[in-house]
Amino acid sequence: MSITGNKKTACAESSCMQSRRRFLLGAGAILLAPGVLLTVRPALADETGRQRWGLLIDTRRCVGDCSACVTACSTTHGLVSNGRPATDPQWIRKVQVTDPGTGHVAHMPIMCQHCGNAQCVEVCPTGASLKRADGIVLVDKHLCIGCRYCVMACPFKARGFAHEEVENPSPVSPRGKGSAEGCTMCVHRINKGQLPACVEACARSGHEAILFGDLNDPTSLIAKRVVAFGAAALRADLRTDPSVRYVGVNL
Amino acid sequence: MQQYNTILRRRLLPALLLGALLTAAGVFFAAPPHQAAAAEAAPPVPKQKLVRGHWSENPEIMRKNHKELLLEGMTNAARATNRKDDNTIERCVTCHIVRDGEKPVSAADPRHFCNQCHAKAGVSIDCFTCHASLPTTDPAVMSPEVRNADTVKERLQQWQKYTQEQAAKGTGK
Ligand code: SF4
Ligand code: SF4
Repeated sequence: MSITGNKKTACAESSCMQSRRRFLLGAGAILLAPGVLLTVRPALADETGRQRWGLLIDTRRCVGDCSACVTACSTTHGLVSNGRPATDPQWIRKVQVTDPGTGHVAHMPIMCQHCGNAQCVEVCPTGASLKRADGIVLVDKHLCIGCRYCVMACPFKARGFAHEEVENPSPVSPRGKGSAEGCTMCVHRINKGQLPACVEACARSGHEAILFGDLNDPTSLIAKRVVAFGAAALRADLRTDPSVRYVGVNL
Repeated sequence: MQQYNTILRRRLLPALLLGALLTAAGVFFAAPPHQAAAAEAAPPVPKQKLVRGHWSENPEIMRKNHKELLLEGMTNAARATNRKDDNTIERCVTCHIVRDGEKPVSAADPRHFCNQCHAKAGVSIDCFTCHASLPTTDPAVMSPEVRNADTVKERLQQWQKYTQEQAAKGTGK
């Protein structure tokens, strides 16, 4: 559960992905049958794998009657409710947990945990579920066929599915009917050097329960706090090695 | 893979080459002279690497190549860690505005920029089931001056100014 541990897993993961990619690239274009070509897109060169973006959620600061993070997420990504809770998009869920032994109650947001060992990526038949070199798990919707294997495989109920037509998709977060989707850790903001929308909203609400940073950088605040607080992983028994960690609950 | 290569070399390539040769010969002997002259008069638009601001000078190049550019942008946008923001579709639709009075029209409208050619060519594109087809209001993606300018020329000037500023700031990747 240490940071170095994370780093090792992440590196092993990405190097294994790279060798797979190199194999595919070596293949280049494969002739499946006369006239049917399977072309493989080129890999991008600028992936270093040095960073691993993560979130640290302090459940001692998160309160039951606040949903600033959820609202900010919906606004940023254009998640509109259609009044059908079973199928409405929800990338962050506010969850209340009670310790049956002590009666201690904690509240926490649960989003995609951006697992180092992501099951959604493992099961995806098309390569649409992907893990970026900086640890963020995304769906490349250009490739997703909507099979929903990932939705089934995710142990955290974090992978969702766009069940309905999207009227006005957010320019920064394209999404449409028939594709899997989930928390992107606000890559569009991270790419520009900004904080994820939920982190910013939580800070603005005065609770400051979510901390964003690079888990692979031992000098970063998040890495220091993960060590100092012994931050827990959700369902650590599953060994998914999440990039989202929780403080203040015995999970 | 080895097997594929061998099959490719031994069987398919000779067959394809022969086919191509026969087709070329057929075209050469069958084409009437005036058609050959017409082909010479209109040289094919070269497939070339597009660079920032390039397409403004020769619309033909962009008409021919925009698919490659979009494909490159789409692979890059979804997968690369150091995302290059040059070729996002948001930027395309932010410059190529068609307005109905004051308001830009969306892809649902036949007058939308992309629809103008695609309708004629009978191409149904699937970009706007997910992507916004209206100009972005995010100043980090495109300066508001671009969106608000009236003519394509003005928008282009504003856009060039904006990219230069970004490059000077070191934020334009
Ligand atoms: S939380 Fe679920 S969707 Fe997110 S990376 Fe892990 S398995 Fe995939
Ligand atoms: S729904 Fe899409 S992302 Fe999920 S497993 Fe199927 S193809 Fe992959």
